[in-house]
Amino acid sequence: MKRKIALLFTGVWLTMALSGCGGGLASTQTASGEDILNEETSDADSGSGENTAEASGDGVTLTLYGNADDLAKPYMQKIISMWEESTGNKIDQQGLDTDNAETIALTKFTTGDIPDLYIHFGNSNLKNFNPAENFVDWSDAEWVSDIQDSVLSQATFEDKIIGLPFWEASNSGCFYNKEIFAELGISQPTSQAEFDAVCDTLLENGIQPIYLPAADGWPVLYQYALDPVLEEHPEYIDALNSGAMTYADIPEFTAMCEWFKSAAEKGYFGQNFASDSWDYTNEVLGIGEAAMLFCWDTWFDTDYDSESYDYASSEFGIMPAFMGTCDEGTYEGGNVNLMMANKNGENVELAMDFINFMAEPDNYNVAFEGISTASVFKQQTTNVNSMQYEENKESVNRLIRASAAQPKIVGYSQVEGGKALLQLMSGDITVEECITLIDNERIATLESFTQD
Amino acid sequence: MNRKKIYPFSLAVIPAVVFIIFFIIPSTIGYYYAFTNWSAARTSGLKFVGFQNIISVIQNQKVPVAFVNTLIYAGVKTVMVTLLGFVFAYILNRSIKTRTALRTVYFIPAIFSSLVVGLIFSAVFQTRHGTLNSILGVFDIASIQWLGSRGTAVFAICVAEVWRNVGYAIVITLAGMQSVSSDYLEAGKLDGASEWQLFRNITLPLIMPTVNVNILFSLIYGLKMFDLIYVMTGGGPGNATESFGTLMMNEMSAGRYAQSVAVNLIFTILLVIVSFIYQKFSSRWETVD
Amino acid sequence: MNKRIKTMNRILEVILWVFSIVIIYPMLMVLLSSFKSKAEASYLSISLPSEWHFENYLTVLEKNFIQSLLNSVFISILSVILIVTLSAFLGFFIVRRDTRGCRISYKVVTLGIIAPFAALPTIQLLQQIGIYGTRVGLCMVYTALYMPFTTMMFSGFIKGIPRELDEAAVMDGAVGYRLFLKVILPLLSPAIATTGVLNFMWVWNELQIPLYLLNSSAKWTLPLSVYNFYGQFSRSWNLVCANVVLVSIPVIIVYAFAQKWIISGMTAGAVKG
Repeated sequence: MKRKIALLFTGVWLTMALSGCGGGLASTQTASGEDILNEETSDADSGSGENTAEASGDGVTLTLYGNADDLAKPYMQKIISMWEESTGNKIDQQGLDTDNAETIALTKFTTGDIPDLYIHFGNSNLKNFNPAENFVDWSDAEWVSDIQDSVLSQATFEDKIIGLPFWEASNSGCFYNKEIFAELGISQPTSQAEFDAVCDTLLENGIQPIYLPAADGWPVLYQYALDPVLEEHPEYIDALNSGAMTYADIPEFTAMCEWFKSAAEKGYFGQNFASDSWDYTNEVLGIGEAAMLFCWDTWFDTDYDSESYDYASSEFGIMPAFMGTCDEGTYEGGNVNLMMANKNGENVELAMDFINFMAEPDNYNVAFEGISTASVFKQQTTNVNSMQYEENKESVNRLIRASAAQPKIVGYSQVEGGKALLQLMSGDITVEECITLIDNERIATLESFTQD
Repeated sequence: MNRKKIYPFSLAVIPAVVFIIFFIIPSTIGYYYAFTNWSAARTSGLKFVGFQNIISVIQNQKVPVAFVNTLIYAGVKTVMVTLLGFVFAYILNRSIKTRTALRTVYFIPAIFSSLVVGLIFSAVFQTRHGTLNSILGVFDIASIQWLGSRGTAVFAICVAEVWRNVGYAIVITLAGMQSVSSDYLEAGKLDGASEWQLFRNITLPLIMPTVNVNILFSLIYGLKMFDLIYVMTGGGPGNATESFGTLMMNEMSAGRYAQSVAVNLIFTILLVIVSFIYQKFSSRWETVD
Repeated sequence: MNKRIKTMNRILEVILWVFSIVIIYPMLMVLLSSFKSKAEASYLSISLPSEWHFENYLTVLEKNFIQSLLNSVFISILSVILIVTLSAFLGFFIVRRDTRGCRISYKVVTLGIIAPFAALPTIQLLQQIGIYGTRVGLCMVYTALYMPFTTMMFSGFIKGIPRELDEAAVMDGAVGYRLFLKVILPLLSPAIATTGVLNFMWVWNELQIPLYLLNSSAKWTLPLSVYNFYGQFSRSWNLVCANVVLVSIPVIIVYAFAQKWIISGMTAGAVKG
């Protein structure tokens, strides 16, 4: 009897596996596209782990590493297939799994397994990948002047431009449920005190003011609070990075911690922020359980499911984020992924050709057509700004700051900082201890770079 | 004919070579890196930095919590798994009609990987819509934020790990019980011993070696726990549920390779000490066959 | 058997079945969630799906499933063959030869169970040899990692085989490998079956090690495919569950066939180990 059941299972499963096989071959769009490329070019992976080009008859194959989700973006896929068609070469896209992408890529690089092309966010983690040694310097490229200033700083490393920010840019801030605000007669706050008052009003009416999925660490997004501070005091960046200064020396940092603490105590983040995860953000906002969220506008276009719940993405607007450091509020500019070329690779010429191709206005306008993003390039015309941005354009343009904390501070950690702030908000540690925790994490990374 | 000729070295050459090359060498030589300034940003021209990394690891604020957690995980897992394994094995050793089916069901959790078990139990312990909270809701009890505070989160992780491993313990203990020669038991019954006396004086001492095996494995693998914790809480909330394994992973993710190996080294020493102490201890319990 | 014992057994049986809900419930939840829509699946309950989304399974299968499956099969089978063969020889050698050197080696081997996997040094080693990123390299690492436990099992088992049998065969002129094949091997089948199935299960489910040691997604093993559904910010629970179900099926099948060996094999090995 048992054998029969096992056989039945095998049969069912084989059937499904075979039918899946047919579906997989037929689809060429999205991520399945890279599967076909991988299967075709898997011979290119030699045992030594070093990637050499193969003249596969009609062209050269370049290797590209990146986070799997990043590679799957429609504009990435578009520009890659455009280049492949026009030059007859191929790009073997190796998408690393999201959760571990950073660690795996690091491991590969440090063991000498460096691809022709690499895509990575322009933040301080990049330092681990030794940009000075590994990546082509584009400082003299023509397209540098075509990049928006707010984003250019992220493509810069030690005064060199190390990659092309071919990516979407979002406007980050605080998003709010317009309908709930209208019902309760709340208008957009223009100062920290007004923002806190808004939260109080929401609380009184039985609505959780802010959904803060602190369990995941990164959604605390405390870099929004630090960007205005660094804009006003750019010298802090070098001071922090050289060890002359710590977070504890910055009064605004303490103010931020204190705001988070008091906000949590007052119940602004609800009762369950310690176990709230991003998985449920859509649902919580959608059913109107919480009215606000620290987020970025493109998320509402790409990830928010408008059908399953009461509130659609169009019913959310953007307003400044107030986290205790900047009284007028702030927005954060885009965080961009950089496309970089291995300057010691065998195919460096070809890799550079690909990047220059990406930077041509004709090409990027085709790739980004209809994509919801702020413009990263000055001659970008086909992108679609988010609805939230359009509705509040004046405020955003006035108060937006370039993302500075995350890319520039060595050892800046969204996750670890979020975790420390969570402990502070839960009342497990004091403000001083919280700052020390975050500082220690930063300093540990800083030291591992400079240890001599 | 002497033993060397009957059991020639050639039998062990290949296994030994494989084991040495692919395990002993990376594990031992690898530890050397803990004393250098290796990091993701610096892969050549490494300098010897002595005990600097080891000291900074020990001074790390997260280490005390992780240390305590590691011991808790190992301790709770060992005790619960061994105990439950024992109890269930005892029951399953009796004449029960659906014995085989029950044994299969209880072993099934062991088939799943840590990731799967972690996913299942993070679903069970979710605050929002989690299985447990839904059940509590039926009885009108307020939701508990299971993964939101240290005590309950550690509890949740222990539950998941025990759930996964009881099957192994049952099978091993059962095997031990079944190998207790029925001659002894018969003799005991003839002497008029009660069931409890039979158990305490005959069965229990004879299966101690088996129970020891359970305890040792639970202890070692409990101390090494990492996958499950990572999936369920990521070490959170904050750093409340970190273990040595997750610490090692964090250092590696941050590119602080030398520190990661340093944690590994300290951890290994800890493990060796623990198993050493346990071996000494347990040999006192075991009665000679 | 008297009536009191019978009733007691009945009661215990029922209790055990009641407790088994703790095992069955979560698995049922995963199974049912795999057929739900993303929003409904996030409710993580054992309610029946409002609509049966069979296409979740197709979505999972499309993402390189067959390739990963074949990789897993290849890697698992090769690893198990190596682990079992090498451990059997090593165990035989250590137990029978029984010199002081052997006893020390045995202790060293058992240390292998304790020491954690050193990812970075292993990668460097594989690179030096030139097999980094290959499936064979992965198999060699698995072999080294799982040999300690299996060697212990075999050692325990072989201790239970009387030396007289060896001596009889030696009289006939069989030594070394021939001795092993003639005398020991026939008696080892339970142990081989047990360790074979256990190691197959463990190697199949390995997640962390393949992540580091394989350098292209074409070589990925099946369990890694769950990461396809993690998404950038949140998990698609319905797809994750469907993936979990599919990935678990091969292991369950293998277990179902080999069940009785696991129990009888662990009997012999564990008791004497």
